[in-house]
This record gives sequence, C-alpha cells and structure tokens, in this order.
Amino acid sequence: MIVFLSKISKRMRARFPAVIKKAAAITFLGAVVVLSAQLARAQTAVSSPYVTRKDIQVAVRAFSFVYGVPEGAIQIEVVYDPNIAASVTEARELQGIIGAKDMFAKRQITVKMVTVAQMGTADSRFAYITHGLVKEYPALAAEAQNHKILTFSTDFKCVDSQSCVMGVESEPNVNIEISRTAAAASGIEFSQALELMVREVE
Amino acid sequence: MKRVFFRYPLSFVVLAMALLCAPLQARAQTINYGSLETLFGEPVTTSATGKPQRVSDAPVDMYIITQDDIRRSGAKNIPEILRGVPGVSVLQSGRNDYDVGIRGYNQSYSPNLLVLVNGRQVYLDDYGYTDWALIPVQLSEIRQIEVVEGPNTALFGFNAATGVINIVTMNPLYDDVSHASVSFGTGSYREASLVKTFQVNKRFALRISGGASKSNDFGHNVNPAEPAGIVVSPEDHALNIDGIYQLTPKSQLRIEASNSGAYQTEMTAFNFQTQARYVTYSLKTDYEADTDFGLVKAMVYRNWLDGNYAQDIYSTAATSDISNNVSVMQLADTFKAGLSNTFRVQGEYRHGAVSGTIVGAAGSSMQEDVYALSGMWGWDINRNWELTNSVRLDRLHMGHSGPIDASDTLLTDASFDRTIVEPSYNSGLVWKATPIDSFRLNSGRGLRMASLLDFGVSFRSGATIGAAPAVPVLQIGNPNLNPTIVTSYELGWNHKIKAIKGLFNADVFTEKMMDAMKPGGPIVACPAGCGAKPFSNNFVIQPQNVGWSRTYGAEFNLQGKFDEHWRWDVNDTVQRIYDHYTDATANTKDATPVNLTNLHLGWSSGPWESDAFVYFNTRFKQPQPTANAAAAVPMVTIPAHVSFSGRVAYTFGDHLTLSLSGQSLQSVRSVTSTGLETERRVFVSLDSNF
Repeated sequence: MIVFLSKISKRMRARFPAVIKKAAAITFLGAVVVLSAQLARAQTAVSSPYVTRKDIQVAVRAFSFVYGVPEGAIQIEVVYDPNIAASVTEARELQGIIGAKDMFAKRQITVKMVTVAQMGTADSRFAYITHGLVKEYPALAAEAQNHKILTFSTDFKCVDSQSCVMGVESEPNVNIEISRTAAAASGIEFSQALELMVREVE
Repeated sequence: MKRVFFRYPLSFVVLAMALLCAPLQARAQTINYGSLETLFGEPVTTSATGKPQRVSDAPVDMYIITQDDIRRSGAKNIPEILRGVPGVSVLQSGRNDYDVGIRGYNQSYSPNLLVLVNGRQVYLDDYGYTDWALIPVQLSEIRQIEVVEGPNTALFGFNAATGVINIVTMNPLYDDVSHASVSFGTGSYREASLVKTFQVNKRFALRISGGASKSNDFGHNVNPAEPAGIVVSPEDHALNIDGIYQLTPKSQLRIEASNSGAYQTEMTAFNFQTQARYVTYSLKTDYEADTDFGLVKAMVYRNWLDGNYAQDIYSTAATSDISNNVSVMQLADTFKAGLSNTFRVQGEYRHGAVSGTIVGAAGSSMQEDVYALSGMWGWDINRNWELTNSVRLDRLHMGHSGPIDASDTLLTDASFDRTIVEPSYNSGLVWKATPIDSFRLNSGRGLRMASLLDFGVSFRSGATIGAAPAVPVLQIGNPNLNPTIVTSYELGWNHKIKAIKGLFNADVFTEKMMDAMKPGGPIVACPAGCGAKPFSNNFVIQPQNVGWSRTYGAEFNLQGKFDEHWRWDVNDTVQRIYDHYTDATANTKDATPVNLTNLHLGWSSGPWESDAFVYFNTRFKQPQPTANAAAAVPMVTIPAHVSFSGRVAYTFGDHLTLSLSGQSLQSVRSVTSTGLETERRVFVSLDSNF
C-alpha cells in the first residue's frame, strides 16, 4: 500500500502543475454536477399526515429541558375529539407510532387516548394535542392549567393561540416553538439554554 | 487554604460528605452540549456569539469537529485533526511542532488564532502563539472542536484576530467516558492515554485524564544552517482533573486543574529552531446559573507557564528562561428581552506578566492589565431573518518593573508606561431563505495585541554581525507597537442536500490587516543614545508595525453520506494576499498557499471503520535564516505537496478497538516547511472503552 502510494506521489510530484489543475477542475466539476442534480430534483418533503415518530422523539427530548421533570417513564395523554375525523386519524397514528411501553430518548413512553374533558385524569403531566381542536382551545387551555400539564402538538396554531405550551417539527429541520403564556399558566419552566435556542411566542 | 484544612479537618470531611451524599435533584440545564445536539440533530455552540445556538444558525463561518470525526481521523494530535477544515492551514515543522492559521497569514509561532479549552485561553501570552503539544486534553475526552473563521475579538478579546478554536471537553455530569489507549508506531512512537469520568451521584461528577507520548523527531533538517545537535526526541504529557458540582437545580460549580509539559525542537517566530522545554499549570473555576435575570456565568482562571530555551542557529551558548502567568476574571449574563431580542453583557479583567532572562536583568518583569466590557444584541427580526451585533471595548495598560538589561540603553521603565484603548465589533445578518438554504452577511473588527515579549523583550542574543570581532545583537521590545487590526467582510451560503444526506456551503471573504507586526524588524546599528552605556557598538533588532495587507478568498465545502456505510467530504480554499508593507523583508503574500484542497472518504460496517484523507497544498515560501544575522533572510519555496493519511479499525465486541493509522503516507519524507522534513509515520493503536 505504502509503496503504491509512494509511486503515485512520485508521479504527482513530477506532474504537479497539471495535477493541481486537474484536481481543482474535478473538485469544481463534482460540486457543480451534484448541485445541478440537486436543483433538478425537486426536494419535495415527504408529506407526513400529522405526526411522525421523529416529532415525538424531539418532544420527549425537549422534556428534559423542563425543570422538575423526573427521569424515567412518562405517560402521554393523546387529546382528540371523536367527532373530528382528522383528530381521530392522528390519534390512531400516534398510537401506532408509540407501541406499548416504547422507548424514546431513554424514556419509556405509554400513551392514553383522552378527550379534552378527560385531560389530567390519567395523572399525566404531558398531553399531545391532535389537529382540528380549534374550537376546544379555551377548554383545552383551562384543563392544562388546572392539571399543570405540558401540552404539545405538531399543530403550531395551537401554540400561536397560546393553548399549547410547545410546538414541535422534525423535518426538514428541528423546529420548536414555545408559548410563554401557556407555559406560565401550566407552571412549566424551561431552561433558558433551550429558550435561547427556540422561537418563543406570547 | 492548607492551614485552614489542617486546623479544621473534620469540617472539610463533613463538607465533602455532604456534597457527595446530597439528595438527588434534577440537574441544572445550563449548556448540555450532548443533549442539545441530540435534540436539534446538529452540534450546538456558544463560540459564535456567546449565546447557545445551532451551528447552522451561527452568523459566522464556523465548522464543528465532533468526537466521531476525531476518532475516525486516526490523528494523534489536534493540528492533524484540523487539517481537513476549510480555510485552515497547518504548518508542520517537526514531529510535534505545528502552527495553525485561519485564512492565511500562517507562520511559525502563529499569533492571529486564539485557542481555548472550555473557554480558558491556552494561547500563550509570552510570545503570543499556541503550542499545541501543551494543550492538556486527551483526544478521547473532546466533545467537539469549534472552529470560528474570521475575527471574533468582540466576544473573546485580543488575539481572536483571524479566528478562534474552542475545544469543548466532555462534561462529567452529562457524559460517561471510560477510555484507555496505547499506541506504538514508526519513529519509536509510543503513547498512552486514559480518560475516566466518575458520576459520584446525581450532583457531583469528576473527569480525570492523563496521557504522554514520546518518539524520535524527523531526521532531516531543510535548513542546512541549523546546528547538527538541535533536534531532540519530542515528548509531552498532560494531566487534567475536572469536577462539577450541582449546587442547586439551577446552578453548577465547575473546577478544572491541569498540568502539561513538553520537550521538543520547535521553530521560533524568527524561523530558526530552538530546543524548548515547557511546563504549564492551570486552575479554573466556573459558576453557571439559570437565574430570573438570565444565564449567568462567572469564570476565573490562572495559567502558569515556565519555558526554557537552549541552542539556536546563532550558536547561543546560554539558555534562556521565561515565566509567564495570566489571570482572567469574566462575568457574563445572557438573557432574552421580550420574545425576539437576546442580550449578552460581559465584563472582563485580565492580568498578564512575563519575567525571565529575556526580559531584562534579574527581577525584571513585563506586565499588562486589561479591562474590557462587551455586549451582544441578537434580534430575531422574523422567522427568516436574524441580526446579531457585538461590540467590545478593551483598555490595556502595560508596565515594566525592575532593571532594564544593562545593554539596553534605549528603554527605561517609563518607556513601557502606556495605555491602549481599542474597540472591536462583529455584526452578522442571517437569512433563512428556505428550510434548506441560509445566507450570511457579516463583518468584524478583530485585534491582535502585541505579545508581552513583543513589548518588553530585552535580551542580548548570540547573533553576531560581521566578521571578527563579532558584535552581539541586542533584541529589545517595542512598547510603541500598535495592535494589528483585522477588518473582515464575508458572504456565506449553506444549502442542505437531501439526496446526498449532506450539505454544501460556500463563503467569500475579504480581510484587511492594518498595522501588521513583524517579530524582528531590520537589524540596525544602535541609534543615538546607545553611547551612554557600555555596549555602544551593539546592533539592535526590534519588532515593528510594518504596514498593511489585504486578502481575498473563497471556501467551498461539500459533504454527504450514501448507502448507510459511506461518508465523504471535499473542500477547497482559494486565497490571495496583497501586501503593502513598509518593510521589504515582510512577506505574507508568498507565505500563504493560494489553494488548499482536502478530500475525505469514510466507510463503516459493523465492527469495521475505514477512512482516507488527502490534503493538498499549493507552494508557498518561508524565511530561511542563516547563521549570519546581518545577512538578508531569503524566502525559500516550499513546493506544492499532497499528503495522504488514513485509519482502518476493527472493534472486538463492544469495548476493544484495534486500529492502524498513518500520516504523510505518500512518501518517506517530504518538505512541508523550512523546519524538519515531514516523515511518513504509521501507528498501531489499541483503544478500550471500559
């Protein structure tokens, strides 16, 4: 191997100017080809219905930046409305994503489907809010406040309306949004290190 | 402290037990690099603006080398790891003698790059450079190496003139590391390293590390004028202890202490070699708290350096000694005001002093005191636009105490009574044009302060002028040196490419370097006034500001992964410097390679890992002095060179890895500087994660 490399090196030394030009040209050409291919290929994001496993991983990892959250297993309430098809579909998706006693970010996660009125009955501090619950946002925020629940969703409208504490998105980039009002109402305190790195809304 | 301990030993034991047995509580979430990186799917840094942010959000040109990159590089030291970073040039003058520059202007005793470990400066203030062999860190305990390109004085202070490298180690409270390694190689290379973290309980953790290496140096000197016995077998060692205590759920106290030492032949700032022996110590305390008024960080540290130099090209018989210490106190607060404004305010005090046989007569010392105030304002204009501005004002006052060397008739203590006040700034605008594209426009004003010895060296060197009777040269400092000011403008583009699971980034930049410094100006006959003292026939060499220089450059970097097993990257840096120096012997244009190209291809599958690296440097020139100090120092061409390095590793089970790695594999030896010819080196390493 070393002898082979030495031979190559000797040849290259003998022809340095040409090699330099060739290496630079190949490098540049390679970059252009790859970039052109990229531009030609529309980078359409693979559409996920509502929530992905990666979204839940991001959320569970973010929980470790909340003061007072103990390490170990947690239960997540999946808040849905049985009268809204999208909400039911999403809740089922989530049940499919999180199997029985699944592990996320070194935590054992279990889920329980609940309606807004049933929030907090499972003594859980975390609730995933499905899409389509716009009309129930006031009741949702009140329940979260009563039971000191960290509500999160992939529906950023819920966060923007100050009804959910945290919005998460994992593709194409990890994106976290926190509602200060909702967090304060539920007594949720994030570390400032995280707050400095995410988008906050009222 | 010692007295108190012996007077109240029981109190200390009780306190220690209380600390160790404290009840478990949730940990403070200051900056947990590992968790934040896992959360955001990319490395996180505080080295760009002082606030924690993802590397893709940083308003500067920045690269982060991860522990995975370090392990797979097969490198045995940090400069070898840095070789692959776009814009970084690595000058190797011996087996353990490296100089690193960012965006050109690299030279022996490279002064423009500030290097830190966990925020503590390891840049040496005596001569103003970084001795990489003295950094008290084992490669396996590094979490990430953060490379910031361009001036960043507004955050880090003096000497972050063309870039900053911050080495972030594992945090024993969050990271579990138990790693031991031994390596053997050609050139009688042998190395041992141990890193162990102890999580005593949820509130208290320790990291202890140590390592040493020794080998033969390279055997062939490029400069025929260097004395035959100048080359020694380089050796180095490092010890480090790092303890973190969770005071409350929202605050941590961290204490780090280190010792390192090295003995080596090294290239000096004057481009001749010397035998150098160093010992360093450091003690650092950090306090971090998540408070109602922001993330507060207080840091106090002190560095000690003792150096001894023997032999040089002028056949100086006597050895010279220096002793340098630096004490730094910093207090910073980072907080959000409203939803979209982040502020950071910092105050800093620094005291540095150097003494020894090259600072005048016995008992003399050169000191400086620096007071600095800085602020950062980050504004999230909307979801897609962010503006970050940083400003800093430094006030340096220097002084000399003790008798000036009897032969130094030009300077008195009063000559050093000088105050320098300089502002610096960084401003960056980031536009996230699409979810996969971001553009950066930034500007900065950085400062390189003259080193303590640039200001205050006073030394009769062995250099001689003319034929017999030889006349010695007096090397004296120049207290009137102005700081070098680097002003930069830069435009950058980052583009994520999903098809190759990778990233393309490009940067174009220009930097203007005002009041550039040359360590030794022209040797001149002793000016008027010398006659007042005995050595009236001395010649004098003094560092000088030599005018200005401008550089234009571009960097391109493309990296990706495929087939789950392969990863690759290719980068290219093109740079051109235009000098406008008043001293015709100053030449940074020819000393900077016009083109640097790096290629990497890596493969892994099951227990196997294999990585190959190619580094290409176009030709450049370096000064090559002769034994006659009066003769003009010629610039010698270092030919363009390609260097191959690589590593193949196999992991047995989960714990034991056997690897074969090599550097400069392309030839038995090659000319990479005017120092020692770089030789091919091959290593066999056994690593255990126990």
